[in-house]
Amino acid sequence: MSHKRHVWETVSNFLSQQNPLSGDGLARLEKEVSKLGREQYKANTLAQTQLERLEAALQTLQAGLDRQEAARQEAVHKARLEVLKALLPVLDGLEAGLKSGALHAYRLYRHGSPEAATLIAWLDGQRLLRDRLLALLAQEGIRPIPTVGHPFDPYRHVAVGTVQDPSRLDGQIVAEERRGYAAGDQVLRYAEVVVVRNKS
Amino acid sequence: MTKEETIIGIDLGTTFSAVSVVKQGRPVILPNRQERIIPSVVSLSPQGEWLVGTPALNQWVLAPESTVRSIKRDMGTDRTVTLGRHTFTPQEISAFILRELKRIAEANLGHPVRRAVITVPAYFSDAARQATKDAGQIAGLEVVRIINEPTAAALAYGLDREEDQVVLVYDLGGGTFDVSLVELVKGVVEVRASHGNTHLGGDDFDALLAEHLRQAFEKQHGVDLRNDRKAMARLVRAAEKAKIELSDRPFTWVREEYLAEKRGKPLHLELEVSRREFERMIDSLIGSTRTSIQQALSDANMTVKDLDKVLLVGGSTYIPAVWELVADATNLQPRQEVHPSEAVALGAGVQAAIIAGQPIEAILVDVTPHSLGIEVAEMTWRGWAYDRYSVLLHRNTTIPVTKEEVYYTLHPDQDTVHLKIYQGEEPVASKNKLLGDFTITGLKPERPGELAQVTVKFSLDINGILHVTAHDRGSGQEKGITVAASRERLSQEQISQAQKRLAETVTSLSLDEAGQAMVDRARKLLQSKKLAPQEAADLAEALNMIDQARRRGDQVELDNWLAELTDMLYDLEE
Repeated sequence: MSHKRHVWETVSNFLSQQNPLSGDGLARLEKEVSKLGREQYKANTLAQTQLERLEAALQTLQAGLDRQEAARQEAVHKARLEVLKALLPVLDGLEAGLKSGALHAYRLYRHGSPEAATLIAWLDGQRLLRDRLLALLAQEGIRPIPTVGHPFDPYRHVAVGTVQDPSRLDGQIVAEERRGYAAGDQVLRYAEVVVVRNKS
Repeated sequence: MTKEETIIGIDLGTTFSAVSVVKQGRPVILPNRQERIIPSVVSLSPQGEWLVGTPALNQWVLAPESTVRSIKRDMGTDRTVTLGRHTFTPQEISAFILRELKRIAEANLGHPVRRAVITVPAYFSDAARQATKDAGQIAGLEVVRIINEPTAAALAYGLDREEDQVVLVYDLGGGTFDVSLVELVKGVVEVRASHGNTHLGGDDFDALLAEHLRQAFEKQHGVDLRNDRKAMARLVRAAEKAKIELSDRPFTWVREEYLAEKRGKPLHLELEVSRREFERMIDSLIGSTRTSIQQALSDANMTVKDLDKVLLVGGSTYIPAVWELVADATNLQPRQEVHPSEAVALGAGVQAAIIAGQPIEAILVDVTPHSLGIEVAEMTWRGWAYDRYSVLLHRNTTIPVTKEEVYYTLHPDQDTVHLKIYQGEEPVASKNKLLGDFTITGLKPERPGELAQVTVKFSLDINGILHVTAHDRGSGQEKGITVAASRERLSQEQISQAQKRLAETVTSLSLDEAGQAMVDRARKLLQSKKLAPQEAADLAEALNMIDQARRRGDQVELDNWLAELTDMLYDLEE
């Protein structure tokens, strides 16, 4: 230990200056050694506390950084979901347009109009547009909530209407009025559905 | 404070409920995942599963006979509801909601919760209050106090820690309206009078705006949407969105594509709605609240002059026309810096913390300390009055914030406007502090012969930097300026309180680093219990003497005892 070496260097210096046989010198030597020891003890204590405090501060800092990073990631994820959620009505519009266009194309086709093929090709372009948007959502884990043919689930669906249909099971979804979306088990928008209800 | 002592605050509302708790001196809402409030709905699913909140509301249309809404209206009556094979009292239904709120609180806090403060309307009868208390008990909560909703709002604003005052609490929510007069004397809050309408709120405004949209669509396309459930649902949603947007800007576009079809042709709705139009629609509804204010005042034998403050609670108070109406009816600047939809729940959390003996700080939100606006000319019966002050951002508005207003030129041929931006509260513009000015030229009316319309937008960011832009609707051009608004966050009262606190802290001698290290080491050694009784007593005595010397401010004595302590430790440890 360096502090012991320091003490002994001081002691040997002291001895070389003193007459070792003198009783008075011995007492002074003892006193000096003891004083130096105390000084060293005090210095050690201070150094140790400083080290402990530094380690504690470092730990707190690291924990704080970890927490901050976790909170930041959470906030980023939340913000992305918010932005994508705002896009959902745009997607609704695209879907509605496709549906309306398909009906129109069907009517043209039935009348034998040559315009039908053009419209179908045009609608295909719109479908690609919709699929690109859906792929973008899927990248963030957002997917449409399955509805028609599935049983009603109040944790994912909102009932907006009921129908009587004895050929189907009670609680089965027969129509979707507004598509719902979820990221994992987190619902971004509930699916609005029409449900079979045979019991009065 | 131990976990077992945590008390939660609950706003048990007619349509929505919320739970809060004080964390690090501030009340916060405890969310249910993404939901900060849950619908006050209870339902029994066909599979026999009990649902509370959004899932219960989701199956309302599917199973109305086993879904209960607005049970709060029945509290204190002997009405019962039947769900499936079970019959329930209103207390029991409310208990379902309270149990769900307890679960949400426990999920957030990570430990069990046993005690709660619950809010009730000021007009609730004793029977209804007792029923609320019973509901808590059924849910496994000890209801330590029932408090009035306006009282909770006052607590959320920290008014119990201010001087004695009379406060009017104006609460306009989604479905109910209340106005209450609250008197605060020496930290005790008392409701002096209360008046309201249990069937008035934001949902009514949405319905009126949706009807306006429906009529516009019928006029344009000749198609009546009333029997089209899907289209009507879209209109109500679009109306609510437009209503919220009109709180911050003078115009908004409603765009609903493929809303219906006519002979195979798709029909869309594209309509601009102005704030003025919306205000005209809701005028008579919100006008009726003015009568309630006067009724509450006269019930309490008071006049407007007795009022010290006005607090706005409930989401519908975001509507600028509501703010104006309350300001006009009370001659005071209403305050709404605490989130109006959450103020009651937050106040319940504050009351809970007070009972638990938890320290509470004021809810510090960043607000603009002065109003901000521009110079305008106003038409009076004697002609034009110039140098008037039109406020865009009222003082105490929570920041960051963006507000837009539309202004008109004085004459059809006026093509230039000089915009002067002021800060202050004086009705005469030039008596306020001028922050900056700019000129926008080349203005064009939308139609020849009309006045040009200039939309002025004020955006105040969190640092008190104000961005002002002027947009001419006719020519489409835009011009702007950025100025710094002054921003003092502490009121004079807060400053003098802080000064008092500072003066109260006694100055005592501090230890240097080495001294502190020795004291810490001695304490550790004492705690380790490795010492003989006499040694421990000596060490404790030395620590005590050091403490006394510090408090007396005796530096010589302090140094002596520190040396003594060092000696003791050295002998004990080396």
